[in-house]
Amino acid sequence: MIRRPTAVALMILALAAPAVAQDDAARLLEQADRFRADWPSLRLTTRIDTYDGERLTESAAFEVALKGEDSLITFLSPRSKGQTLLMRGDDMWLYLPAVARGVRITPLQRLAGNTSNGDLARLRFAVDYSASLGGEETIGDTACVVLELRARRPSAAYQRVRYAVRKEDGLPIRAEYFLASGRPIKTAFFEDVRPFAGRPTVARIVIVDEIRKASKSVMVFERIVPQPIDDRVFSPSRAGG
Amino acid sequence: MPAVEAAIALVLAVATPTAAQVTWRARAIDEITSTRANTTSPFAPATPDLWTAANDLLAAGDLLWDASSRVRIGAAALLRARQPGDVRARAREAYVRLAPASWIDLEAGKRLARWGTGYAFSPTGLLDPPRDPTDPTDRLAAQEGIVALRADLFRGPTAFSLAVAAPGIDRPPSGPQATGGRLVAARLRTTVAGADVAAVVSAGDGRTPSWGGNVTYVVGRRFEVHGEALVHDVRSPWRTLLDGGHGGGRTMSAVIGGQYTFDRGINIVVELYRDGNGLTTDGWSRLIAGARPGAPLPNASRPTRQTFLFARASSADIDARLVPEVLIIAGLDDGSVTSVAGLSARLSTRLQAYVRATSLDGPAWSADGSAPVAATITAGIAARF
Repeated sequence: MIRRPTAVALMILALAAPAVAQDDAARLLEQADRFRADWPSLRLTTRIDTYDGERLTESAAFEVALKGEDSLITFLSPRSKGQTLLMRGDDMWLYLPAVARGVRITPLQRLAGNTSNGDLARLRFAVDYSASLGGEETIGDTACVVLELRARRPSAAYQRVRYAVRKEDGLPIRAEYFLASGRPIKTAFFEDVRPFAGRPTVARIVIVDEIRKASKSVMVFERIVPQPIDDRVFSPSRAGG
Repeated sequence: MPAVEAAIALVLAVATPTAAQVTWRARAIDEITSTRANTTSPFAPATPDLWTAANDLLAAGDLLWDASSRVRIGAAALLRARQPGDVRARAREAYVRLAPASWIDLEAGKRLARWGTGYAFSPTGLLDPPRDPTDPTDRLAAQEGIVALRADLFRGPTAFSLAVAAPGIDRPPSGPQATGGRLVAARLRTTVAGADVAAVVSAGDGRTPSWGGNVTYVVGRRFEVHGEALVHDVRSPWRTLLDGGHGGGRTMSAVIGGQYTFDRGINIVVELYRDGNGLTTDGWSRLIAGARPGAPLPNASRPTRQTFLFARASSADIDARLVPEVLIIAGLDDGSVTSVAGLSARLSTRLQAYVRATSLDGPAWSADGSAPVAATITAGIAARF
């Protein structure tokens, strides 16, 4: 027979366990974000090479300004040069130079186009997702904790992400992205950690399309510069030009 | 100190010698259009050719020079040849922007403004170039800016803009905004609980101030709604000519619309538009009664009616290899229907080819049914650098 104080202690433990797990998951997510350009504001340039099988089908370059929950992506490749995508919190605008105006877009539209546009606008998962522990897994030789991420705001690019991070320090290893229907849409592998501004940062992400398996994108961060950025850079009135 | 020297001194004062950056883009487009005349149109030439063809060759370039984080100089030019020997050069933009402090931009020159939020129609775009609802994305990128002095003040998501413009300078006359004289316009824009809202007001030579506002809001992950309304003077010469007592005074132009994106990547845009400058049924009847075959319209711009329903279906992925597009503009006053079907194909990173077919239908006395053109077929190829 369990004595009364023991039963109370067990009840407290049972109630507290999920909260502790939640805290652990949130802490791990924060650790993982530190490897993903976790500065208050920064500018970066990146190149995304898209492959169909082994054939390079497109190479696109972007310049990104990030500050808190705001981001401004400038498209640099010839086909879409001059386009900009602005995110302010949950609100998004696409500026097409030919149209001479900004178009308010929905989160689903952000996923259209280059499949990696959504991934550029927000590098840090903690902004958009709440985390819970989803078990452990060994990927290659790396012991990982799997975080189950659920979108907690409408602007999140994906509804659900299974995020595997290295157990010892939270280094991102793999992320599996799912649509609201539960269908897997793509898988990202985080590679080549390099120092940017003195901090180890993921410099290369390989994104495999789970719908068209032969298609993959390789995102390479070429320059990351933490720097103060004026708020007006993220003003919808100014972002288009 | 003369004004020009003062301006140069101001540029030098705010410019810093580091971080200069030049961004440019260029494009060349060749487009051929076959036009089928509406031989029953009262506005058609007396003996029209049933089919005519025309070629449009464009070369254009845009340049942005960020001399520092505080100085930007922008220029965009267009060279256009519609027929041999008829080559025209236009400046789409030419401006300098100074940012003397983190909360203010000062701008002078010719500049494309972006005040309206509607897709095909935008009555609150007081400084915007006129929209062509059959080509809302301006596929030739031929729209031109407005010459203005402008100040933008920023505070968080809020921006206040004040512009003193000269719509008649160096801009093709089209639409009521492009009349001559001075135009002072102001806009206050902010984001409130996810709604992007703006209030606009303008005053110009010989006209009563116009005022109005616009709003856009995103509902969930796939639905966007927007609306615009502007109270303004009747500025259409057609109204003055044909609508008698309705030719002057005040009126309102408004648009309400939305766009929805489906899981399969199809994007639908629908807008309902009321044009305060459009002709009433009485005015339109007078126009038709007075029109004689072979008599050209007394104004370069055709008169329009008042109420339109616009719908567009296309791929949400503007970068897709194949982008089909269908547009319908229905004139609710008279049963006119303009329909456009298009397909663009990305041939390579730099090359794009497209075809478009446009058809104007409706009762013989309606705006589309009486138009001198019955249909057009366009094929083009564009190279971007």
